[in-house]
Amino acid sequence: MRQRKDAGESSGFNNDRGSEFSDGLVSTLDKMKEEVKVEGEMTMNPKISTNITVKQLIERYPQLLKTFMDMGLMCVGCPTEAFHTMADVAREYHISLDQLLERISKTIGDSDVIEDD
Amino acid sequence: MDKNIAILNNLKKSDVFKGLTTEQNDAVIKSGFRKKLQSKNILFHQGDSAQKCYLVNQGRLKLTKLNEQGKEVIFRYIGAGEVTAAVAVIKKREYPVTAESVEETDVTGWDRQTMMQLIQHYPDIAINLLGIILDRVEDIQNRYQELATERVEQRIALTLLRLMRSAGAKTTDGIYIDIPLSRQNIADYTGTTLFTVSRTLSTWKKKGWIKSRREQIVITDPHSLVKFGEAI
Repeated sequence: MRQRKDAGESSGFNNDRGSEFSDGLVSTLDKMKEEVKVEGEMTMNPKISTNITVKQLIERYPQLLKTFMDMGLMCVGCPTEAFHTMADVAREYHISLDQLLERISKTIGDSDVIEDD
Repeated sequence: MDKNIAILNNLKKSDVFKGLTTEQNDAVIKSGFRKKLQSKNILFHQGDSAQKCYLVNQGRLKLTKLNEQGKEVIFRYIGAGEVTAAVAVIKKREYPVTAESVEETDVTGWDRQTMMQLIQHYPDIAINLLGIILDRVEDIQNRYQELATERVEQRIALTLLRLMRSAGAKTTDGIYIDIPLSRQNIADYTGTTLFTVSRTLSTWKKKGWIKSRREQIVITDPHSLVKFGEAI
């Protein structure tokens, strides 16, 4: 029986399949890191918990729908969206949790969020 | 006292009373009456005159219809915060289904007169009901489409995922479906036979997609099940 890893354990690309998607993502993310460095204190990226579920995240930041699609993560609308956390998503798709969170934070930080509560 | 608070909390969560203030929720709960059911008790029978509609505060109801040969079809499971028989009561109909508790269940009921008064006082309830009915029509349409077009194994996968979405609880093993679920129940909900369900679940168990014990199912690999169900 498959054993689930603890949330947050996943780190680094588990890229044994060497998919183009992951390679592309790495370079995009590296580029983004650079940009963040340059902007320094200017960018106030919200801290995203590794334990937030896809559903909670999308409800709070609907603009992330596009980010998920762009990354090839078919989580939104999936029956598991209310259960799977960011840590689960990273594990299921064999991508780095840190980089996933960073990309999400960046997207949220870049858009004007009007919190409706 | 604690129980009343629990009920109020459930009312707040219920989609039917969305938009009502705490005081209004309070008034609504006071106008209904509470009923407790042991597991496997019938709340109402298909064909009886629909006297009351019900909100589940705690526990779960199974809504079924019987055909002439006595074959049961499961329409849905209703959990905490969900209502049943609202339309039948408003329209002075008969109950279209039989409602049976699948575990210890606590409900609040309202008769037609009270329900109509509530709706007139709080039109939000009518708007909310419309949304709930639309969701259920959509659910039935999707399931009808699956019945007409999908292979039976795919339908079983989609059934488990549907139940997981509404009654799933995350555990270290995977996502546990928090409904006592026999293989016959799954067959009655999917529109297939016990034999097919047993054969299919055994295959998935070997693949490591699910774990099952008596009346309990844990989906250990939901992604594989989604891919299979949606034939991706």
